[in-house]
Amino acid sequence: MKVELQNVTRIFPSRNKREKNDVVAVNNFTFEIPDGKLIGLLGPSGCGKSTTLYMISGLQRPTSGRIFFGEDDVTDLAPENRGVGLVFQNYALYPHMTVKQNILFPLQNLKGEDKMTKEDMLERAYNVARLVQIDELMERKPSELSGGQQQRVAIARALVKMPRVLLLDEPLSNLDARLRLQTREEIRRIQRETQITTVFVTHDQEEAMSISDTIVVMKLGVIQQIGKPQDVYDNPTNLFVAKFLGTPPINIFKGYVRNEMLYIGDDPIMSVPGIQLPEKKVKVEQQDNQENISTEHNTANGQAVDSQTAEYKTVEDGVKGHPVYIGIRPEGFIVDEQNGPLHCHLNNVEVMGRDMTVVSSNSDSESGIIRSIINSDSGLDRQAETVRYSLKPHKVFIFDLDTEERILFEVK
Amino acid sequence: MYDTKRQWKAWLYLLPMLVLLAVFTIWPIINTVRMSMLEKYQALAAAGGKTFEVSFYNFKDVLSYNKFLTCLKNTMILCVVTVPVSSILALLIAVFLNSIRPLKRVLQTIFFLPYVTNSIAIGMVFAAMFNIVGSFHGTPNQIIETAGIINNMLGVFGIEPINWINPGSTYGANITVLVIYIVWNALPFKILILLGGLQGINKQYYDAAKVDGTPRKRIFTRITVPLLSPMIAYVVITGFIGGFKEYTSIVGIFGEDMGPAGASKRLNTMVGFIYDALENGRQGRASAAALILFAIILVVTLINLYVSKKRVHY
Ligand SMILES: Nc1ncnc2c1ncn2[C@@H]1O[C@H](COP(=O)(O)OP(=O)(O)OP(=O)(O)O)[C@@H](O)[C@H]1O
Ligand SMILES: [Mg+2]
Repeated sequence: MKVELQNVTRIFPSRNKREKNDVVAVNNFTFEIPDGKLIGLLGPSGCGKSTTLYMISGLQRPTSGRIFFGEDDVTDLAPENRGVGLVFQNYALYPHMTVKQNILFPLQNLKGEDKMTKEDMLERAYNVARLVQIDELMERKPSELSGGQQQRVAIARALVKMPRVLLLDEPLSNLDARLRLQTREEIRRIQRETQITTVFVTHDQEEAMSISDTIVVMKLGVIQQIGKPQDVYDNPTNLFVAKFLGTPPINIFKGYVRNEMLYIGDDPIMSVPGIQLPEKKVKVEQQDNQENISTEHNTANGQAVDSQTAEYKTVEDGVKGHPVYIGIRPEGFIVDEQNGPLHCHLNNVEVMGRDMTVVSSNSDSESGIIRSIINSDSGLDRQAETVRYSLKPHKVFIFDLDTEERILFEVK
Repeated sequence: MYDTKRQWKAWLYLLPMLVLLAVFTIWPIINTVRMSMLEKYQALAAAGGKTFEVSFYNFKDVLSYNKFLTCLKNTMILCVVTVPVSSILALLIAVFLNSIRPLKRVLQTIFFLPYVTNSIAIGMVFAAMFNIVGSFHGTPNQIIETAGIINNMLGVFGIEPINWINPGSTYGANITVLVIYIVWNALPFKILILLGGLQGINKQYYDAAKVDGTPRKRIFTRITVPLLSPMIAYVVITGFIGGFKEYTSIVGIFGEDMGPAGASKRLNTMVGFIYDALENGRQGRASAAALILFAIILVVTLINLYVSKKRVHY
């Protein structure tokens, strides 16, 4: 069953009638979930993920916009008539019922021609229980189960009535790291086996990336980007998305572009042919070209750190070039002690088998710390004061300083 | 193990409480048992140097005493009728109060009012409401004037005035008034407890039930009631205990005669019986009656606990 959201908006009016600070929990969402796919809703806390899910389930009504299941407009349909299965963040298993009673509960609600005989219900319940591997636990109460088992019961309860759409609200957030990994594989397996269109809400980017066919990245009720996990990771549309995806997170620098060359501090780190800088800033850059060149001479002669920070200011003022944010993925660094254009102070090295994490610092880095993932046999001198990097162009993203939108260039 | 020194300290701290308990709780209990076992015990006579034989006479006396059996019957009827009625009503009202938004606070306050008012005073108000003024036994041509608002209201529906509590009223009418009064008086506390329980139930259970298309009746019986069962058990058990101690409500409506004029003591209860015995200086009889009451409450509470162990989900 295909699910489609068209311009869906949800506004929570403020309690205080005089002040007009309504919360726009979900702002003009439009996206389509193809039949049988698993889509991940991803975003930080409070960005409207649960609200979106509740609107799809029918527990909440959109303020405006329409929701379709297949060709049917379900916007005005009550939850029980939508045929959705919902797994709550804390499972909401009925504590006074056994696992079996919990799973049977939705079936016993069916009426009219859907009504089932006791034997059919039991058979269906046991089939679903087997699917999520809890058929051994049918007589237990939820309090006698582990978190992971409870979660599977919750999924079984949502699946047993064969919903058209399965909705999962941060189902793994209560589990420990190992169980989370295991259960997420299981959800993937169950989804593949049942081919039920599934929406999976999480604030954990790794979880979303590993399990989803498509991810929807959200921020403050606004969709930032929709795409295949790998595509979104490789091609973030803005700084927020770039920062949100990836562990360790992307390294952000303040830098500038001049003459199709990208600079961090005074290091010309990479050429960016065909970069499409916004118009206004380009003019500023051309005006001040002369002065910039003269300052550059100074540093080329090996100036102290002092003058570097002084020049940093001029970069912000748009004097040295067009100021930008530069995002470099941890795997985008190559150690190059001879020719690497980016100079960083080497802090320490964490070896993790095949790869190692090199922690270095640079005054133009936003967090001050740079984490790069380098192949262990890269010939890094761990005793050295500085480390020199060259960069993989497709792992480097440039963003506008004001709009934080991506600025594209040609990657060869 | 704690060393002896520290144990001493602990006992020292407990001492004031232990002394109070011993003087005002433990000794009276022992003394009650003692008095009940002494044949025809009277404190005054005992003070005068009289000795009493040890026997079960008082118990036999009480149990074969017609007045006591009346009291036992009244108490039983009031308990068996009022506890279920008030518990179910309180449950329905609590669920209703919990489900509405506007006027919630106002209604909560109104339902809570009886709890903060004096029950004797309310009893007198009830008496006034169910009262009849003027000749009741008039000929059909005579106009019967009723001052009680209840009879006036019944009159609106064309129902003849009923003699609720005045001289000549029936036992059934008396009990009806008492039941209404006791139920109404018991509601606030029960509503308060159940409402508190309801507010403690996670809203997601209801969301889950809604997504699964559960009919409202089924939500009530399969989700609300089981999740509320500890509170319901509490309300029922305390209701029975309170019911067996019923006394003030009858005084409030019928006065200390415990019945309409001409039929005094008809509505007496077990506690009333004990008071009467004490008033007459019959401490032995009063003690025996008190112990019988204690035994009944104990048995009923044990039955309640046994039932709730099977039915209550904690
Ligand atoms: N009933 C409500 N009344 C008012 N505001 C609400 C209500 N429910 C949610 N909100 C607001 O809407 C926004 C989105 O909430 P939502 O629960 O959808 O966030 P979320 O993405 O699920 O966050 P989390 O990851 O913390 O669960 C938040 O700012 C929240 O404060
Ligand atoms: Mg949420």
